[in-house]
Amino acid sequence: MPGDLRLLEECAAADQQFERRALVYHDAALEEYLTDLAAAALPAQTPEKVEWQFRILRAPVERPFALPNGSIYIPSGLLARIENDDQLFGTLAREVCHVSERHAYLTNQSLGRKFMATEVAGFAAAGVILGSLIVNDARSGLFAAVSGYSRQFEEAADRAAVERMKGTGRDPAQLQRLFEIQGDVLEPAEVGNTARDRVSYLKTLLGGAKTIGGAPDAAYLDRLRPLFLQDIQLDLDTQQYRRGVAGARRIATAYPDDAVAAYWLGEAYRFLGPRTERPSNEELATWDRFAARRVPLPVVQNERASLAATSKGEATLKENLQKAEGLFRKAERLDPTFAEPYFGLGSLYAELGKKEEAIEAYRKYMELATQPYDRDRAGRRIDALASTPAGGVK
Amino acid sequence: MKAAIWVFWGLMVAACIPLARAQHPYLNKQLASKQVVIHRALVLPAMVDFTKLTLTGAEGRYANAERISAAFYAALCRELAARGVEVLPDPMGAAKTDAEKFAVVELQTRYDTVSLQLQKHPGWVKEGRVTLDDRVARFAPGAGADALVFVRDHTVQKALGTGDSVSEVTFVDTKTGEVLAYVVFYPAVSASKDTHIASDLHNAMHNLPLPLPPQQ
Repeated sequence: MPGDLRLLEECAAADQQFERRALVYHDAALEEYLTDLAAAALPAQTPEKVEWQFRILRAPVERPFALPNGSIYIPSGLLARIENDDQLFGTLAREVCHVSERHAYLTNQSLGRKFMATEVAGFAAAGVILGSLIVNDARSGLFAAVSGYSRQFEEAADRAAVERMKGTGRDPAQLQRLFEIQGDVLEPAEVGNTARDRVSYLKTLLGGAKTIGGAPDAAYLDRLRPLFLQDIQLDLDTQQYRRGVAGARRIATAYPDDAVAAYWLGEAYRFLGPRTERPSNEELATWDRFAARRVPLPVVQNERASLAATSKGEATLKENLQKAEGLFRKAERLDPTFAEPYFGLGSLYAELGKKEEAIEAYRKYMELATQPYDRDRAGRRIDALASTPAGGVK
Repeated sequence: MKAAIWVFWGLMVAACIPLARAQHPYLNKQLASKQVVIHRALVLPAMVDFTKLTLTGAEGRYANAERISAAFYAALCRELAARGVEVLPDPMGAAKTDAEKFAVVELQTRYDTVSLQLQKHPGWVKEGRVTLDDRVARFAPGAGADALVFVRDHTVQKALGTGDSVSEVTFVDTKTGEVLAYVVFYPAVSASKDTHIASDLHNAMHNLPLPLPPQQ
């Protein structure tokens, strides 16, 4: 069908775009590991116009997706929450099922028919409706492939993954465990995911109502450590500070003698600032309310300062900055030549109004930093501090 | 009387349409007062989201987006050069190692977070309240530039030649991370969108204080 061919062309273009934007994380050993792991999840016969490719996407989100041409993308945000190979295998098996059962094509055909009816009706109104920036991407099967299928298709993929896990000697309960982890919402972007519903039916499917315990795998963490560090940085960039702390704590716990791990956990706590490590019930209710109305959360100017102005926020800020300071000091002890913790300390002391300590930390950073632009940056911070009256530092 | 009221409201609505389409360069006071002058700029790859809605669904999302992105990047580089700004080489093209590629992705991600603030409160630019933080100074390819330039474009092309498009070009100080200028404009949507990019950009950047005045 022409619609199917067009969908395939779109997939090829999407693959190219992800590559060109450097969103695909390349590591030969990791790619080989993913391909080997997924091999047991593949159907005996490769479907027509499918070439299996397993790729890691640099994205601090948790939804994996499979394009109908066989390109399966696992985001770094999901890999950072997965605990072991069984959970990863289950994820890959689900996505393989979406491709082999042609869910994207079926969605495309179904939506295409609906679209034709609505758009014909829309022609009549075209002269009236002007200036509306309405993006109805749900009219594309490819969008469904990326953002999630109907509940029926998702459930079919979950069931297929469970069967595949059983058939290959993997623990299917780990798929339930993964959904339990994903159901534990830390950030607004995670509100509205279907993980909790899926836990319910997987419990029934697996014949038990029990909650599955964690099964962290050190080898899994070892393999993905460099990617996890990038993901922490992306979490902080996207203001998902709680995710950042959770991810960094995982690394710091697994590598207690690693200066880089200690630094990143310190940095995550510093960014977390006046926020608690877990969202309050009040916050969760607000997120739910906005998600239900499909309205983005309001943008608050100086959110950090306004949160820190409350007594609870002030106490939390103090506590988190203390943790950050301890971790930066630990990183400094573990590797005295590592410059980054000193910059973290400088920023932290500046926020606390400890001008002299901040300047000292930045000076130490300048001694250790290897790049001239890093030294310049610290120098500018020192100049700014020097021109600020004591106690008035922000 | 009723007819007069309808005509009045009709005229009011008609009068508002050009306002909604007006081009807004929001300037940081440092740039406006020429305390900061952009002589050298590094343009990050344009991130374009394009959807064409046809009778049988959405199409051309990715292929068209890449084509428009390349056209946007080239047009912006030409416009800046014509206004006396030296444009440094494309950082993505020069990125060879994973760390270099990640640095570009990370910067674009950080801009996208800040972009939400800009869209909601563009007026904050004037007082320098919108910033990507001085971490931008660590972006090695931008070390010799005065400004990093981010480009975003979202276009939906509908049937009967209608559609909606919004583009933004943002200049960020390479040392402080402060947004120096935020140019948002609403280009006309047509089948050959990329051919209009150069003129749309030229018009949108007309009032931007750059070393040379805009060419006629």
